[in-house]
Amino acid sequence: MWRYRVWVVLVAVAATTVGAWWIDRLALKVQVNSYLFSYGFWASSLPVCVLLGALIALTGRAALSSFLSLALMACLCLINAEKIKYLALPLTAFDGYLLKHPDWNTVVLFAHYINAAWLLLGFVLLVAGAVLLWRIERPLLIGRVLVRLGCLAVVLGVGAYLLFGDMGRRAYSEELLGISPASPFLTQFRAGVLGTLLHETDYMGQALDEPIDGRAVKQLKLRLNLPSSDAATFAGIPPDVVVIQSESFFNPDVLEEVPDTTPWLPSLHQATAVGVSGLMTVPTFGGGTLRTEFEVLTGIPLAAYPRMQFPYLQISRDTLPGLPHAFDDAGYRTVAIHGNSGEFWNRRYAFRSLGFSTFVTTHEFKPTGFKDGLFLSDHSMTEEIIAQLQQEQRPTFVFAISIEAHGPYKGAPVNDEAARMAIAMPAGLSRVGRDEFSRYAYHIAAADREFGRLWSYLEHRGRPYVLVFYGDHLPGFEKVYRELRFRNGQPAESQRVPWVAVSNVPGHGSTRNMYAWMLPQTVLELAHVKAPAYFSFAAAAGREAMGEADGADNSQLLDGLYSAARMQLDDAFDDDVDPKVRHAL
Amino acid sequence: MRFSLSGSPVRRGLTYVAIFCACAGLVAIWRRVLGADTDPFLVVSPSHIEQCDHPRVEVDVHWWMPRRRVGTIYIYTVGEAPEPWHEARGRGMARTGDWVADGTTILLTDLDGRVLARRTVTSIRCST
Repeated sequence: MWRYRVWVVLVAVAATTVGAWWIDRLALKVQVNSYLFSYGFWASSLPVCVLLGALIALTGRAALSSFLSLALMACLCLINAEKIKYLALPLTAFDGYLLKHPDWNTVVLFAHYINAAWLLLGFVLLVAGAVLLWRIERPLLIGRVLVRLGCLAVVLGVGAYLLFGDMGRRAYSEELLGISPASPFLTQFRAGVLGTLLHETDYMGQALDEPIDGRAVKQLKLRLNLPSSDAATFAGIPPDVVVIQSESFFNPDVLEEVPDTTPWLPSLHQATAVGVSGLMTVPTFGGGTLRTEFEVLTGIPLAAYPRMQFPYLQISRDTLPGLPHAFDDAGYRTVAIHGNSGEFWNRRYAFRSLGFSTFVTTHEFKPTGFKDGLFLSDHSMTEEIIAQLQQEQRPTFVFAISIEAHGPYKGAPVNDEAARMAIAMPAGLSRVGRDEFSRYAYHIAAADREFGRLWSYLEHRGRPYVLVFYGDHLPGFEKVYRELRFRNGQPAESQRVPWVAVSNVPGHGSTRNMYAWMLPQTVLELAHVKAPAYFSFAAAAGREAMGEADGADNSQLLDGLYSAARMQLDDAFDDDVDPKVRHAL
Repeated sequence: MRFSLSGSPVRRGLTYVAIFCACAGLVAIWRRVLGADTDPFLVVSPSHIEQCDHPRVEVDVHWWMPRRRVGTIYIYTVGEAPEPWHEARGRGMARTGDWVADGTTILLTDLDGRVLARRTVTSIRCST
């Protein structure tokens, strides 16, 4: 009898591990038996075996346990596939930070990406399959509670020993798994989703442990030859400054098939003509708004922290240096506005650390605020910005994060169907592609309209102002990028977003392309507010990096910049170079 | 006439074999009539590459599409969208450039986009 039980368990282990690998490969859209029985396969199979063993001990049934294990694996791989589809990135252990800060609004936002009918069907099939197997499968161990509990303890104990701690660190090491730091996809292809997640859990808490090369910083300071102080001189009333981070905003005329967008993005075109503008390189695609937001607010390139996925969730500091503190030092009132929960991405805590004195979230929006589609409208956000500007005489810095144009787009409702249908569609799109594009276009047309309305308000208000508008990243389309081509021939993930600034304060510049972390210096410069030394340094380094020819070795420059950024995060960046060091270098 | 599977075990066994052969024959005739006499196939050679010495290589792609069927061969690296590379009609072979790497997938679909075969290049560890 025991021999029979062992055989049943072995068959279940073999079927479950191979099945789990097969599901893993499906999510990556590669050949189902690629790297089967490789080291990555065994590394991924270990947690599957632990789960299977624990379930067998609990239920006493091998087939049922195998079914439940594979169902869990399928759920994980489905999430992985969805993330790849919309964000062009595979699942990482850092996504687990979202589970550490559970929030109902987060659940609601992500639920929009799930097809409820399929979810329900999957759940019904899961329950039906489980019940059926429970009834027809002969248990391996009937009763024998103590034996089963003993088995469970052994499985969990051995599992914890093998998966975590020193043993886990060795088993899931970079060398053995064939981790590719340059490509998370290649990593997952070789190590499997579970192998990758277990590898990443080892260094999740070490995202900030990056080296600081003081010498590289000093060398870069000398190379940039910046003036020691960047004092601003502006005699008049300080301008109100409004920075709008527009959700998923880009100008679709960078797509070959898209005709002129002036009819439905008039404000962007007009502001580009009369203001300062350019293209901005952002650290995210399809989602991950907070990454661009962090770079804009702090001037810190996230490339300085390669293991940082969600800065507001991974950095826990009482004070974070950045744009709000600079405005606060200049006597400004600092306000952040976002039409979602303050807990989403842990913004409430992060914004307090960044120095915002007021944070207006959904609950504080006026009762007249309304949704257009799935999220709070840009119109409602503009109303809040105007209300905040009218509150007091002190100059105000407003940082507003829109949400109306957040995906998903396919089939999502809009308030004005006629306006959606009136937008000219690019040729070459399928029915789904047209649906997706038209709904996205509808929302960014609204963003542009609201940008124009705010601009007009500020223009007629009779006070100095600076208004900055930019997109946080390109939208996560399901079909559009596959069916249309970018004029520059680059993939969607490599495209840049537009940024534009308009003002009635004298002293404008011209077209400037930049990285998102260079924007705070530009904002302060336009507002004639004294910029912290680091901002000037980073902006100068960024201009230097952009001016270098493609393929040039800029590793020295980046070493200096990233080390300076790490010093800045520690509030330890010093703009002076010791004369002795200057001489030695 | 009434069909019965009663009788000696040998006779019963022979009857089962005959039924199986008849069914197999019918399926074969049906596939031949519909032109689906052979499943499409795709072979990539070499299918494994050496990570250190030759991280990017040229590979030969062989395909076979049953008669009257036309397909498209796509190529993509893991995580990226498939790009059409070659038309697949009948039996054929084409050689890629030296850009095939670990994780490059060659995909054969019919004109409706149904996946007929998929081959992914993997790598073997460096010998040193």
